Amino acid sequence: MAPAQLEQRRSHNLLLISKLLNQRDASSPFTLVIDSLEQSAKPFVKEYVRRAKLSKTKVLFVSYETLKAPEGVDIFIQATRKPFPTLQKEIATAASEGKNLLVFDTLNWIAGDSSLNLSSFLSSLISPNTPLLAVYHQDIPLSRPLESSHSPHPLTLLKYLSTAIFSTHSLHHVLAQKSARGRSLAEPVFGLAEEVEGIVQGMGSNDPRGVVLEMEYRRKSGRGVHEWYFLPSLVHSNATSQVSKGKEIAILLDDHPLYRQSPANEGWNGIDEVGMDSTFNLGLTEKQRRDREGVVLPYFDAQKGEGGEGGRILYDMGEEDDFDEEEDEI
Amino acid sequence: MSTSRIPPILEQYTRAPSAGELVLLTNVLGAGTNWLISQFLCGALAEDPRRRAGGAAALGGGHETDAGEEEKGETAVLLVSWMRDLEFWTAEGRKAWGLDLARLTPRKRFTFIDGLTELFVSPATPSQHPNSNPNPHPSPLPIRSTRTITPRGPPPSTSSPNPIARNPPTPPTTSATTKLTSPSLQHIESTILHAISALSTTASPKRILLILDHPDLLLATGASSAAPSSQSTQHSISDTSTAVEPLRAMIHTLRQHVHATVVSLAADAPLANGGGGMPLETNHAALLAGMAHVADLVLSVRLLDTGFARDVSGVVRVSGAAGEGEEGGAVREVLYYVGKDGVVKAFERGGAGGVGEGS
Repeated sequence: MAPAQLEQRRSHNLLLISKLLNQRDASSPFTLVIDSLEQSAKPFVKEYVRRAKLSKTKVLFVSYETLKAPEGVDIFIQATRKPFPTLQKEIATAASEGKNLLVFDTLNWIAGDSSLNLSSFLSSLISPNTPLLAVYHQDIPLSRPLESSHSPHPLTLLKYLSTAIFSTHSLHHVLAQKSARGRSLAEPVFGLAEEVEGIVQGMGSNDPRGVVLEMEYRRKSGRGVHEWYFLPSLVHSNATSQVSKGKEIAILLDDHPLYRQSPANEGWNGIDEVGMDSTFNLGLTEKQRRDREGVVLPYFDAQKGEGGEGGRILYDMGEEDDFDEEEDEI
Repeated sequence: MSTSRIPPILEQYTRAPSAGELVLLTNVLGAGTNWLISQFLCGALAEDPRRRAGGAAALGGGHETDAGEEEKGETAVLLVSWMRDLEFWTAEGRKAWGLDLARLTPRKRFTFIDGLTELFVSPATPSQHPNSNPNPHPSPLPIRSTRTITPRGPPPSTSSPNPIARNPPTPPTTSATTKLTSPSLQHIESTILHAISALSTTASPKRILLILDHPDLLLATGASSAAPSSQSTQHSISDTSTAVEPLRAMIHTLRQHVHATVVSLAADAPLANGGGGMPLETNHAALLAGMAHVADLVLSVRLLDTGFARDVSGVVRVSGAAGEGEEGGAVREVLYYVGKDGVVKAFERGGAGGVGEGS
């Protein structure tokens, strides 16, 4: 990845996630969070609620599976077994005139209900000052009645409706998969996907260090922006100082020290280089790399004009090059 | 009665779940969770005597953060088992812990609801049973001396649509166990709620640990799909929609009435992955994954990946839900061994000496 491109992504996409997390300018009326047993969306939702509190937004939390109101939630609505019109009314009365944030702890259990028109129900809840943040657990299979087998799967529908989709991944798993990719091995799978009898959650699931987020954001034009982020957990990182300064704590996954493409991380976390017992330094300095990239390959030269000057190697001597009369004679 | 029966490694997980906690135990064929359930069961019941004897400050202080809450009332256990009867659990408790469940019952420390024996037996049959209560919704206040069966009023039919509306008999009944007599979720829920209110009265409030042993049986027996949508106050769910939701909603509702909940489910491959496309597989997988998403602690028991061993019964994988606490996300595995005497040893991988003569 060219540095300039990364720089651009850094500035644009970090601004974007900051805008999304802080719910500025009605950036995303319907944010869908797709989580799994391997990485729960809870820390991510918590961060959302925390920032909503900072901007004095009223947080309405509709619970289907949460027992106690999470920290920072203003109005906690138990929705289990509630008829949808009642729920709708309750949310409408709870919503204030000012800014609100409506959170659904899971959509799974209402997505399976064939008596409900999911899209109209959700869009009736969303208003310009009430964006919706909803979680969908992707590993809960849905048994669908026969008559709805021709309509799209609720998750497909939700993905279509939403303006931003976040998929959560465990940092531990992302690093393990990257390391396997780097060595051209099959990427490991975790948890239920391991298909080992009796395993429900994989090793390293719900990494305490933070959450890896895969974002897909739809602009008004319809163009999608795709990016991977890392959201550090406040307990386990020193991000607290940044929070107090009001800085963005989310970073690009490519900027994560353990994920970054750097000599230290290439291969087997740098073990290859160290373990290679050689007196030569096989690495390149930044200048050497740039010089090497600057070399015009002989056949590019040959393609110029009338065959150029043949397969000559054109190289401008640097001052550190040692000119040898016999060898370097052209 | 020794409290050192809990393996020290597992003790931090099985001892006194905190308020509102949901613990999910999963098992596979060949590696059951019965021993884990009795850890929870007996851990909760054996706790208080020792506390009283040893002084709360010295022994009890370190275990729980809400030590103040513990002062308020003792812990009572409500065990609902769809897999085993009372004799089994009594034997289990005696074997591993030397705990006499029958003695704890009249002291309102323990109530057992039998979800297995009479789940599908017609309402007429139970009354012939000498030891069982003809009433399907008895209050589990057992006074052993009044052994005579004194039916109060006509035996109600089990298919009553709203049993919670009926005034339950408050005087002591004859049996230690309540039996679920209908697979209808409404019946099950009201029976359990009843038992909860009988255990924890306003006079003597208790922290109730609710243990649901294999409620997934109800999925397999088709109970949930038969759950009637007759109750007009509730949102009616048609039979064709996901049958898992009523069961999940029931567990969610029950959780609001108790201190903490332990649920055990089967996690055998066909039931956990839901890939087969059969309704049972899909529903079971949905219930399992749904509960695992909510659970604060998941203890998955499975067999050794490397085959059988005489000195190891299986592996427990301990995983917590997302980073609420400091160590919320840490996943670890512990090997365990259940001896013939019912005593459980737990040890780390590679840590020798757990079993003694291990070959």
